[in-house]
This record gives sequence, C-alpha cells and structure tokens, in this order.
Amino acid sequence: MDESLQISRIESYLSGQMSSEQKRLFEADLSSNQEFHRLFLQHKYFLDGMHGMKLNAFSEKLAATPIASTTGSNRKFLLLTLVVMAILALISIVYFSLLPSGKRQLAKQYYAAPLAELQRSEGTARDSIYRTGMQAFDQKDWQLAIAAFDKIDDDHPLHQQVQYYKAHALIGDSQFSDANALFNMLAELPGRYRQQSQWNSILSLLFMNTPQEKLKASLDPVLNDPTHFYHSKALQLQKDLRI
Amino acid sequence: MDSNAFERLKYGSEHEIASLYQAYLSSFVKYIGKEFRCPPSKAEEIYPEAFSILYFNIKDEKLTTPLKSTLQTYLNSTGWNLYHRRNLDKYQRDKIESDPSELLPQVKNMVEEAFMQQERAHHVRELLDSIGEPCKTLLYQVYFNETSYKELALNMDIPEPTLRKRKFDCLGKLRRLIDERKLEL
Repeated sequence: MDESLQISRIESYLSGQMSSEQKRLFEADLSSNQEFHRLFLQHKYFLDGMHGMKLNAFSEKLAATPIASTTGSNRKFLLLTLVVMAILALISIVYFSLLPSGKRQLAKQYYAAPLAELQRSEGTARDSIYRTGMQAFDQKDWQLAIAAFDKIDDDHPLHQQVQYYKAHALIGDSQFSDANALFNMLAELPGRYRQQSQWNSILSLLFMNTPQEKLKASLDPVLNDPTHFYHSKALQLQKDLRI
Repeated sequence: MDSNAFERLKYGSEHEIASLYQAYLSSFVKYIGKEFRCPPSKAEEIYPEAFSILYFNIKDEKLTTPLKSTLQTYLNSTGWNLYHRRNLDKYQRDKIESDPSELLPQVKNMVEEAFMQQERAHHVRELLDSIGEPCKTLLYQVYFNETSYKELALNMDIPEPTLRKRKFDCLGKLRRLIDERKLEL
C-alpha cells in the first residue's frame, strides 16, 4: 500500500476516527506487518511530539494570563477584581464598534500574513532582488521588503505575486492606506490573488478604523458570494462588527 | 452545571476557556496546598499545565461524558499527579499513600501520556530544526497550527496535490532522522 495512504490510516486510527471493522483490520495489519508497525511507531512519535508542543504552548499561554492571587487574605480583592473585570468586559462589548482600538484589535485577530515564498531560485539578477524581498519579508523587515519589491519591473513573471506581498509588507509597516490601495488594485485583476486581495483590502480598512458604513460596503460583495473563499470569515466578521 | 462547563471547555471561545481557567483556580490551589502542604505559589505554578492536560484530553475526546466526577475533581487530580510526579523524590512519593488517582486511574494515564509527549516534543523540535526549510514550516503549519491544505495552498501559492506530496516527502525525511538518531519509539 502507498506510504501516504498508510500515514492517513495511522492518523485516522490515532484520532479515533475509524469504525470498529476498520480498527480491527488496522490492528491486524500492525501485528502481521513489521514494516507497517515500524512506520506506525515512527509517525506516532512525531505526532506525540507535536502534541507535546501544543500542550506546552497552551500551558505557556495560560501561565501568561494574569491571575489574581488566591490566598485567603486577598479573596475579597479577587472578587472585586473579577466584578470590575466583568463590568469592563461588558462595557467593551457594548461600545466595541465605537472604539477605534477595538477594530484594530479585531483586524489583528483576522489578519494573517502569507508565508514568504523562499523556494524560487533561478539565479538571475532580478531574481536576486526578488529573493532579497522575500527573505526580508520572512524576517519581517517590512521596509527592506517594500524597497526590494519596488525595484522589481512590471514585466517580471511574478509581478502580481510581488505586488501582493508588497501590500502585506505595507500592512506589516502600518501603511494601511497604501496597502488598501494596492489590495484594491489586485482585487480588480484576474488571477489567484483576487479573492485574497479583496479580503485583505477589508482588513486594511479595519486597521484604519474605517466607519461601519464603508466597512459594510466592502464586506457586502464577499457576503453575497457564498463561493468566495473568505465567505465564512466575512460572515463571522460581520457578526463581530455587528453590521 | 458541570456538563455545561465541559461543553464550554471543549467548544468554547478563548474568552470562555480563560474564564473557566480562572474559576477553577482557587479550589485547585486549596486542594494541592492541603494535600502536599505546599504554599499557594507552588500550586499556582503547576496549574496552567494541569489545566492544559485536562483541556487537551477533552478536546481530543479522550475524556468524554458522562464523567465519573466533577471537572474540578479531574483538575485537582491532574494537579495531584503532576505535583506528585514532578516535585517529590522517590522516598516522598512512596510515603504518600492517599493517591486520588486510585479513584481516577484515567487521570494518572493522562499525566503520564503528557510527560511522554513533552519529552518527545523536545526531540521532534530538534528533528524539525535539522530537516530545515521548507519542511519545517510545512509540517508546523499542518500539524501544529492545523492549517487546512486549501488555505496553505493559497498562502504558499502551491497547488494542493503538490503540497500533500511535499508533506509526505518531509515526513519521510523525518523518519530517516528518527532512525539515524536511534530514538526510542
């Protein structure tokens, strides 16, 4: 059996997604096929390690959560703190849409910069500028990335991709208005960046604390297109913005 | 109330989880302090890990309803096993007999499994550093961040089938490293 299929079977088995019959067959394979048994142990080792990393990351995140002291003398203080926190949380929810920082916070939650494209390597001079831009992007050196991407000619075969990454670098550098203009331009072009640019254009408006009406107008085309890749995220954002 | 908390822990937002995290803390600290006669700070130290272990066991459906006890008891018992395993030497461990995990052996297994996973995490992190890019990022995205192939394909500008094939190639490299380093499976 193909190794990739075996890996998929191992993952289904370990996550408890197999029927009892599939499980029985799987366990029979494990005990009769030594090679498969070894593959199982190796892949389980890797998955255990990834799970351990998740556990550690979650635990560290919780540990960083400020908690009130739990000693007896401070119980009243803890209770009071919790009440104050609850009131503040309520106020922040009610006035969320009116607070500019609320929108920025929301934009941060929704926004994800793409991974830098580091694998292209043809050795030409203009590709060396491309690589410089992508490496700078990877290291979050936004200004260097923007400067490198600006040097790439319009006839570069990856010009559209370069512009897309430049727009993200502009977001990273907090130049939201320029990023928005660039995403809007890309959203008008045919090709693979159209939907992503449309979505990121909305997020750049959020970063700029744009009024609700304008946000609604830019969200509507995505909300009205159930096949849009970001349709479900747009629905969630609409809910979060209460528009 | 407790089944409601169970659902909130399993499916709830980050905010709901944070509020449960805060809600169970006080009894946890009191229980661990009483069992091991330790200061609150020692109990607070292990609380995030105990909570995380319980959270992942619920999320991964290893711990399912109906529960044999309250979530607070599960959490306290997780903390007990963690403290017992980590903070006591063998002599002290043998001396303490009132092991609540006799009531909840499942919790002891959960803690043991978490220890094993954390040890493996250390080695897997080194393996990922060794295989380098682009495998490291790809495997992190798929297995740590649980990013979908569709989203990854869009972000990395690589067709989905290529991405899947690349992932299996990377896993192959990783297995070869596991063999080379003779890690105990």
